[in-house]
Amino acid sequence: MALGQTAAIVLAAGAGTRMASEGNKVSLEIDGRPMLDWSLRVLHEAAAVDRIILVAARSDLDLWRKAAARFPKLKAVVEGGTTRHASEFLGLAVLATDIEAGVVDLVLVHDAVRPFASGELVQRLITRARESGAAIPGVQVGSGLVTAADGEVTGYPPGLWAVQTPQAFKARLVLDAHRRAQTDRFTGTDTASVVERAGFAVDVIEGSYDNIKVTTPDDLVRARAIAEHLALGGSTTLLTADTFGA
Amino acid sequence: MLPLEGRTVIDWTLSALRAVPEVAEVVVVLSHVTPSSVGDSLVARPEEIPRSFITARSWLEAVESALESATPSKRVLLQPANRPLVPAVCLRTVMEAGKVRPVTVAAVPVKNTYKRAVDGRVAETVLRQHLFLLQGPWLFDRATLNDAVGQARHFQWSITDELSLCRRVQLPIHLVEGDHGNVPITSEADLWLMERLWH
Repeated sequence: MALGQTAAIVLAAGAGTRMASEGNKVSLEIDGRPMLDWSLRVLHEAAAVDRIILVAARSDLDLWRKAAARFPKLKAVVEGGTTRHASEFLGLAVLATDIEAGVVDLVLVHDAVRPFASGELVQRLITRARESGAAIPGVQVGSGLVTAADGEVTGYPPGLWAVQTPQAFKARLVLDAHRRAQTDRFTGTDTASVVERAGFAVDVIEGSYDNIKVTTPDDLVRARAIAEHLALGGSTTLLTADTFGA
Repeated sequence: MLPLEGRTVIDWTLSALRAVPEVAEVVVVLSHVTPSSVGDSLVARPEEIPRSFITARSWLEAVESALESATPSKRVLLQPANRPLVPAVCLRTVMEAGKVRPVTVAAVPVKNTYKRAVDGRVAETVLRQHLFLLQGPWLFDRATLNDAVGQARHFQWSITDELSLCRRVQLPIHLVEGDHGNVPITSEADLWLMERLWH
């Protein structure tokens, strides 16, 4: 049976209030290129990805529409919502007709503030999601995480993974799950949580410690250091801080 | 003992302790390094808090030996040597809160999404507002720590760090606000990055 298309939704509409910078944080430069360029490039260069939908802030729409010249797979730039969850749904809405027609059968959802996802990771996610329906990357957390209330430790949760993006799903599955969430007014913390809530299984595969989320000025310094390290040919595991998950 | 900006990592960490006047004495517990190889740079100058150096082969032995070596005190601060960026305010907050509690530690709320997975499959998404990452320093009531370490030795429990000791003895742990910048150095790559974070 012939495979359908794989579409990637890149979420870049976040306000970036923790970054305390002028303009959107995805415009901040890492090694001379905007952060969003890094995130788009890995998906654009993935042979298995056929098209990219970018969900951006209203103020950035014109800026990023010009990016289509650099990334021909970038087929639409749409305005995001007030939450990550809402932006995700708006990205899926662009694809809904093609998903229902079976043209698009796999969807990746990626946070633009994760500039260091690798092509190899994208391929592994796609392969696993085609088999199981849903696959997300994560890194296992050692000891040191606790649950607490009112400043007192209440528990020691075992088997935790800090999850990352891109997250890959069979297209009908994630669209159905999001529509159910919309009906029930449920807001997910990440795409997988929407799929989990709808009762679908989600596989976790090994992510990368380099695949950090850049949300604070410290993270940006780390990101620039990782870019420098990667440019020097390093395969890295940089800092065991809480900067890896989704 | 790795070099960082012209000094060793542990030297930076020891310097951070200067911010806490209540610290009357520092016992440095080393592994894989003999005290004689510490070098002059780590020996406390006259104006500094007195320091002594001992070696240990395990976490439990390290704490036991340090407790035996240190002069009497009501409380004991355990500061990971590989966290040279521990802020003074963090140390002071732990010291203040720990005056009336058996165990206090600095921690930060997590920024990311965490899921519990079983056999490679998501079992649940954990509400992040309830999750905290422990960083240290830890402040123990000394009698409580002595007793806990004694129990661990007596019952031959496998204890690898402060958290596993507190869990095993069922000690209540109080959290105070840590700092996301207080990252540990666990590899040469961490060190490489740390140097860039400082510039």
